[in-house]
Amino acid sequence: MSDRQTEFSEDLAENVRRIRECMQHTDDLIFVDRELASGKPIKIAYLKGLTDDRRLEYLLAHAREFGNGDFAFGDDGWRKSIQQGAESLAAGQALLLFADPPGAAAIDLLGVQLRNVEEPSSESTVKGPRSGFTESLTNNLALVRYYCPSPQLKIESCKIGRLSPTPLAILSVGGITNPSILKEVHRRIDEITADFIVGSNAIEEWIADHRGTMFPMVESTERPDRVVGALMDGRIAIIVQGTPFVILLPFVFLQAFQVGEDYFWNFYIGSLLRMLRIFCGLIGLLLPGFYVATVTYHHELVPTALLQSIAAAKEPVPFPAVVESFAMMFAFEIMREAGIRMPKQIGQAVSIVGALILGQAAVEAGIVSPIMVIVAALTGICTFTLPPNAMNYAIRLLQFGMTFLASLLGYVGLVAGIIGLLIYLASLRSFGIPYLGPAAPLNAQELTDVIVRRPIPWDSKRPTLFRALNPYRFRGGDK
Amino acid sequence: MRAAGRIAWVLAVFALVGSGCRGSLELNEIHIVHSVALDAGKNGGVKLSAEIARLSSGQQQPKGMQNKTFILTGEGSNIFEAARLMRAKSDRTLLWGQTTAIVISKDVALQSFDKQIETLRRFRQFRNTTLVYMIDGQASRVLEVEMPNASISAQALRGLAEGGEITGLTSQTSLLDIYMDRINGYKEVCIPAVRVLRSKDGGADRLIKAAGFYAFRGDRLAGFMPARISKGYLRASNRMRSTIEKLACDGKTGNTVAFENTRSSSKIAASIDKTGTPVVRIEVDTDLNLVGQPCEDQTVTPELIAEWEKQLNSDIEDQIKSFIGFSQQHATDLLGIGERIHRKQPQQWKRIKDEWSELYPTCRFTVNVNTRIDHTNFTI
Repeated sequence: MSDRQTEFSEDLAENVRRIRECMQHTDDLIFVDRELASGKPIKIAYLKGLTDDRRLEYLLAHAREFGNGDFAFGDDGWRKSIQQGAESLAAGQALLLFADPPGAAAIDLLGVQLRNVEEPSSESTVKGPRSGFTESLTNNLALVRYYCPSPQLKIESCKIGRLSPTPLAILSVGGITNPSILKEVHRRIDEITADFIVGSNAIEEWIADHRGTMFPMVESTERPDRVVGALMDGRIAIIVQGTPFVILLPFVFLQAFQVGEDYFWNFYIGSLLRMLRIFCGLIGLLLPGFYVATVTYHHELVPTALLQSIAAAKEPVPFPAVVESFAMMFAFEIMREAGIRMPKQIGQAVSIVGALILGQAAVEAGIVSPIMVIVAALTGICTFTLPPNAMNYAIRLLQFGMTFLASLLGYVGLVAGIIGLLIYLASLRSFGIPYLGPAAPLNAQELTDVIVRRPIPWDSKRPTLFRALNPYRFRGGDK
Repeated sequence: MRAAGRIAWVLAVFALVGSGCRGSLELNEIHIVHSVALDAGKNGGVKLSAEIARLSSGQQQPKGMQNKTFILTGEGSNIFEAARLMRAKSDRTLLWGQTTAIVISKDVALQSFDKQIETLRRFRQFRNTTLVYMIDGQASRVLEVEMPNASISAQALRGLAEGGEITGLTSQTSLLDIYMDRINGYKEVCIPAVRVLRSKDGGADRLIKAAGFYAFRGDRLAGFMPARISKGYLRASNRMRSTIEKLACDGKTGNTVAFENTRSSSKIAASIDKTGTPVVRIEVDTDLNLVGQPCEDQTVTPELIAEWEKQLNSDIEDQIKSFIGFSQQHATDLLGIGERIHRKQPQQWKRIKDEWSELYPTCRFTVNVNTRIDHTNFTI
């Protein structure tokens, strides 16, 4: 869209022509003639299908009752240029075109059929709240307001996309969120020069500190309770129109092992689940490599009876352990991807085919050993315990690299891989916050808090990692 | 500069790929050695036998430790050469690191014990925790035993060592124990003995049995300690965990009162007295439970328990004294008395250390046993 603005003229027909031209003579653009009570003609423009029929009907029926527009609508709803008017139409508003004064009043009539508030399928919970975000920005903001009815909650709106401006909202909490981080977020969003944005991932990639990394630099969630929790820790949320995934930032590595539900269970259970997820993350990353290193380089380290069983199972397999391992991991990834993409009705068939053909039949045919099937299955299932964010995918990708290193140098390769990974992670930053914090730089108390879910009455301090203005959630509880 | 960095990366990856893979061994390229036997070979050499589990393949389910075994042998001037020559008969590389037990023939011990132990240390293929046994006769017989209770004799040998915890007739002795005893010289080496039992009809070898200890003096085999002396040794050296003790009913032979020894501990104090004679005091504390009382017309009373305790004190003292008699007769300091004196009286030790082997048989031992019967297992 051109940056040049053409102001509305006093000639309604001319304005209609210009709007049609601006909107590429689209067929769903409708103009209706009406008269005000004073007898002045007006035109009502809207995009068919994008507006709510009942409200449109009301508008058309009561058009006579509108004034001249200058008193009925504030500056927020008054469009002075053709381009502004066209943008409003595209955003689902109806335009009331006035000849005197020349301009148009925009009335929000957006009536697209959207989902209701449902439980997010990617972040299901047993005990927590069940509502999840939808594709509507307004609705999502209302949900956050509902969960956090605080006057300190601040919502800043803007639009991104030169060609197709997509509204988004930046949420923060006054008195808690560090203004320098908020300023940095604004700066990075302002620098986005994309012509259009689809979904929050595009925003994520534009504003991330490191664009070439496979690790998530921001968190993504569908749950309003998680957003509110993050806001209260001094973090910032970005909600984009058209996607239920809300961006939370800054984000550090160890947060990938936390889910909101930890706080809905007793702290012992919450802590154990959190530790279990960290353990599963390690298994997901290292188990195939560990298995390959052990059975090809470090036979002495396995208890004799176990080695005997593994050796007996491996006896008919013609492939080296590393090939076997890659084949099974690859097969598992194929099944997982197929399971996600396939219609739900056929999903069961994928499971049966996967379990029977790739598991049992492959073992019986002597192509893979049963132990490798167990390793691949355990690895896969362990990665499922992690919250479904990009960290999950990064770990799955890295397990191939770790296995490759283990096949070259055994445990030495594995340790070299871990050290390399830690060095790399320590070099990352998310909006200036060290990605490995609070482990590196070490803050022992906060590290404990990340691994263990403390009882809520004891958890009076906010994490210093996000540089919140108010370091305390409440006073007197930290005993 | 950037190009140089890239070249360095590529070289590093090539170095990894080129050097790394050579050390790898797939599981179906190796034979897992479970136990090893050392017999005397020709011309002062050694004959090495290795017990290897046969792996079931094809459509069968893996059997783990239930597989049958086969034996490979090799002979050379030392263990290393014998092991290398054994590879000439094997289709796969032999993995020695999983060896559970090494059985040494008495003949090897008589010929060149230190030499073989030194080679084992240099060979560095065995785990330090590998168990060591000795046998009078062919050691390879142990590997060939067709046991009804275990498919792999290494399992039986491990089981025997674990069983020693409750029988008090044998004890776990690993390669590391022998290395330490030979290098430190604090005490003499003592290796548990095994025997092979034939089936009742005198046919095949059917079982392996723990049978006392072989004691060494330096690198020489000193002698064999049978069950009673072995018990005395384990008690005195504080290695006894549990055993059984018996007393005859009213001092008569026939029926016996049986006790389970649930705990035994000992303390040894050694010093040189004013006359220059080494004096050793061994204090033993044991707890026992009554487990069998078949004596007729005998009611278990506190007085009877006190009487039993007195008899047990005397019996256990005799066990320990018979061990002391054995060790002094063969001049083998199995309890490390010399080292205790060294640590307590270093100046005096300097004067006597060169003649310690002659002095040890003259040591004056005092044994004090304190027995307590904890439970009779019935209400009186």
